[in-house]
Amino acid sequence: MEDGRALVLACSAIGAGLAMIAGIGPGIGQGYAAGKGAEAVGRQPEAQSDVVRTMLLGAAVAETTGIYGLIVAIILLFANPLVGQV
Amino acid sequence: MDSNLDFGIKMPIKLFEVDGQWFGFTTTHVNTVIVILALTLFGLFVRAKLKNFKTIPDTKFQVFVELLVDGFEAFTMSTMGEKNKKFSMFYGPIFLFILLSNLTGLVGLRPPTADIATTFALSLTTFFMVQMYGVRSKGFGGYYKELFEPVPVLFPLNVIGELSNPVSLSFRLFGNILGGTIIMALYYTMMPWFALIGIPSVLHLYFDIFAGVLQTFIFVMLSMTFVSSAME
Amino acid sequence: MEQHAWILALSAIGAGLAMIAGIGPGIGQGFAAGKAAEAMGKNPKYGGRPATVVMLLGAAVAETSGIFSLVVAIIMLFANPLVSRGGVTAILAASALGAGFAMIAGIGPGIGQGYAAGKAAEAVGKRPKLQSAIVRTMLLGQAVAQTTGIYALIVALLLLFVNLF
Repeated sequence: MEDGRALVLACSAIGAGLAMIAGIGPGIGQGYAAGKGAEAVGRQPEAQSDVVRTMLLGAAVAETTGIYGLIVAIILLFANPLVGQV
Repeated sequence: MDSNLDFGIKMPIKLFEVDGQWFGFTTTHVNTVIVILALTLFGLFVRAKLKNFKTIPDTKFQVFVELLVDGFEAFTMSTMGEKNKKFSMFYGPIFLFILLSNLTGLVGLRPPTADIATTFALSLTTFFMVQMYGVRSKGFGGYYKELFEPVPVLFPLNVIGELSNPVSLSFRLFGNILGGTIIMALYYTMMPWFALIGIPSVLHLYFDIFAGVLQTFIFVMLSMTFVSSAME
Repeated sequence: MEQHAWILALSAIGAGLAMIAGIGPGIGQGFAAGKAAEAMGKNPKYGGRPATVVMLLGAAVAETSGIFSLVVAIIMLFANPLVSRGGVTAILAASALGAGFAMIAGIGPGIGQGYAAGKAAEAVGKRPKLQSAIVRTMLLGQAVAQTTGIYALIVALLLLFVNLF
């Protein structure tokens, strides 16, 4: 494991960590959706299943950037494309 | 000091070895069998007692069983709508299985749900149920046309949204239960003896009971919501 | 000894970085507390008590990302797996740093779940009879908001415990 590969893999570990910081966005966004969902149920309880369904649909769409961050991190950790080019 | 700290999955029963990699029953398999055995025994016990159930329940046991069944049907109907009452027969046992396996942390077993294999298998059942019931209720073209809603350029985003459901479902359950297991393992190995008297019960209360019940409820309710919105 | 020092040094930094996620629950639970106080003000006789109960429940759920960061930090400080794990020092040290960075994602769910707890407390303050429906929706939304925090925890644990490279 000469220095080049070690350096690339070390920085890949840091990169994977940094990639996960993307989780801030969906966290806040889905939290906002949850808050408004709870408020809407408070205002109209009979519409609860529709409110919950719409909230989850929106939350699933908001999830995608979190999934992108996870995918990049998993790629860096498991299928590192950079180390082969050292 | 951290030598006896282990919360990993060991392999008590080794079956065979394939080029250096052992295959066999891991702690997750063993604990899953224990949980299923407990549920089956409970089911058989209820069936044995079923003969002397009366229309007006007089024994506390019958009241408990009816509470369980009715409660779950009400929960299913409120989430999936009146016409989907039959799903409670599927999601009831799944709810009990996940709940019991989350709570095994209390009796010192390693929860089977603290293993990505179990949770991913559970979320895959939801994924394939969503596809099947979506296609059955809207036809093959009808259901997959929805991936092009509202405007075709959103197709990749919709596909990722669809595929992210099983991933987020399984990782959520797995992460929470694993986090709880790690914290308890850390606490038990690191704390001196006098700290092990009262305080672990509070930690168990939060991680095993509160988080365990909450995650079970979330997993089942999300699965139901996904299936019923696919059938809409 | 030189190798060891690098791993422990960067583990210290990693533990520090992990705790930055405390910003999230801080802001979120603050918002929830404010909303519960507001609900108590508006409807002290009926709405106050249930709003407080819902706020506390929501704040407890919002706490999870802070607890996960604490877990990762304590693992790095007291039971550091990287030290006993074989491998190139540079990679192990960088893994500790990466795990710390990953846990910063806890800020998001902390804020989001706190906001949900606040809005739910406000809604229960207005109409206390609907507490169970509101709490159910809040818990569901909060659990969904938790997922990216869980992704970060899993990546951090992978970096710490699994021989990836």
